[in-house]
Amino acid sequence: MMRHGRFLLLLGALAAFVVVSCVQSELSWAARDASPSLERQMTRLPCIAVGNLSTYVRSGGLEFMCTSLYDVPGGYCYYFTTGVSFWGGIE
Amino acid sequence: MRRARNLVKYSLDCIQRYRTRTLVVLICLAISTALFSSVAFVKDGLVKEGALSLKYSPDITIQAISSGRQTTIDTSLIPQYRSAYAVVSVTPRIWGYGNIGNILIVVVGVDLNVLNAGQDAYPLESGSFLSKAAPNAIVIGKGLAEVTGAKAGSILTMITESVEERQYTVAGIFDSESSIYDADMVLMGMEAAADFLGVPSGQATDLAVDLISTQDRNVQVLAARGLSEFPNTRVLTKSVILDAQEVIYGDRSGFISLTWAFILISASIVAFNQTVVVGHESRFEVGLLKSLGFSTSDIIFIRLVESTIIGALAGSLGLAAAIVFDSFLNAPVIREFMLGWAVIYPGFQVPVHISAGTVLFAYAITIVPLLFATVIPAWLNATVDPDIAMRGAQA
Repeated sequence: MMRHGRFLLLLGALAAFVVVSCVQSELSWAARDASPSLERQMTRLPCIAVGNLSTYVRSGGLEFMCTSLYDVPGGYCYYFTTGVSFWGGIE
Repeated sequence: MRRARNLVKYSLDCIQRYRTRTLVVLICLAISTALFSSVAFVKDGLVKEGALSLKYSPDITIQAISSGRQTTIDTSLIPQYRSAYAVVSVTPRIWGYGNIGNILIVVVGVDLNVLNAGQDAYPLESGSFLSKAAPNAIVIGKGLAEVTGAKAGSILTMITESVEERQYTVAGIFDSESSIYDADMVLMGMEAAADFLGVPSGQATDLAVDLISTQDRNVQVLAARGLSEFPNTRVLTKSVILDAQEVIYGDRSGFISLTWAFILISASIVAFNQTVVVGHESRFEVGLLKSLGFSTSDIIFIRLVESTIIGALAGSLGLAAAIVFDSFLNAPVIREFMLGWAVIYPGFQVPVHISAGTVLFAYAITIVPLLFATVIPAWLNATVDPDIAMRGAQA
């Protein structure tokens, strides 16, 4: 078994690295979730500073594209403008 | 116990003996796992960040619609909305887009009358937060500060929507930890924002509605239905936004996940092929083992252990590579793909969530197909009579 030690050690080390990274990531997200974020609380925008299809949330690039190129009835931007409207049933 | 130990030892010997097969399977599976997990970690991080922002967003947002497009909403309608079912408060908001040169920014108006937290409470890297004493001051995101070279105290000139020049004093700059949320953000007083975005008096970008219960989805649905009755109104619930975000990032990650699925299938075929080839070679070995007293279940156990170890090693290797790629190298290529249309600012740290679910899933789908691809041929070999197996292998 000893001559396989190096092989098993590599497996153990890699698995340990993955597990430690996973635990650390989960803990840091849990901590972030628990601590209040004042600027989000104040602005209340439900989005992050990256692209999104919904015009409700931030979508600088899409807005730019809509206003410059594709803003025609029934077209690309019309679809996204009305794309995320209220829906849902009572559970 | 001793028997099991010896069988495991023999399995490890097999891994080394069939080195070429081990390497081929290991490399194929490790690449497919790395590809899948690196995308999944970034996707999970983006959804988590979105959900974190959503936590503070209003239960319902009301927008005005004119000719099928969003327009500013009349704030004189607030009392009517307030009287709707389950509504506790309705707050007008002013926010929108602007440009500094060719840089797109998000301008958000803040009600300076309701600032009640201390200056230290805000996540600022430098300077101070907005105050009533300085109505022309702004607080900007770190990304924007890096691009424009602005510092706390700098004067920033911006062109308003009505093409007029305005000068603002940069009061403070948000820190890098909050940059995923505010990298492109400019916070200013409500009146200054209305002036910048050309929102007329008595109008707002949208209305933020808080309900009596933020958790009960039925209350949300009923309230939204009630509010939808108002003319020229579009109602968005918090859950709709979250669903939309998950779908968007899920779709984007789907492209790469599909590629990953093809790679995984290819890896399984390669593993199966290698096992069949090696299986022919090892048929003699199986016959010999059986003639020495090894049972069929022992041989299957050996292959089971062998596959589990190779699968676990490939999974760990792929996952470790994905973690290094995402966390330390900031996910090049994937980052541009997943972040979509955004204007990416320098120093933007991609959110990474190494979730236990994704890790377990990656391990499961690395090990299980390999088990099928190796154990079945081994079982077929092991059920053959040892004499025939040895003669067949030699033939």
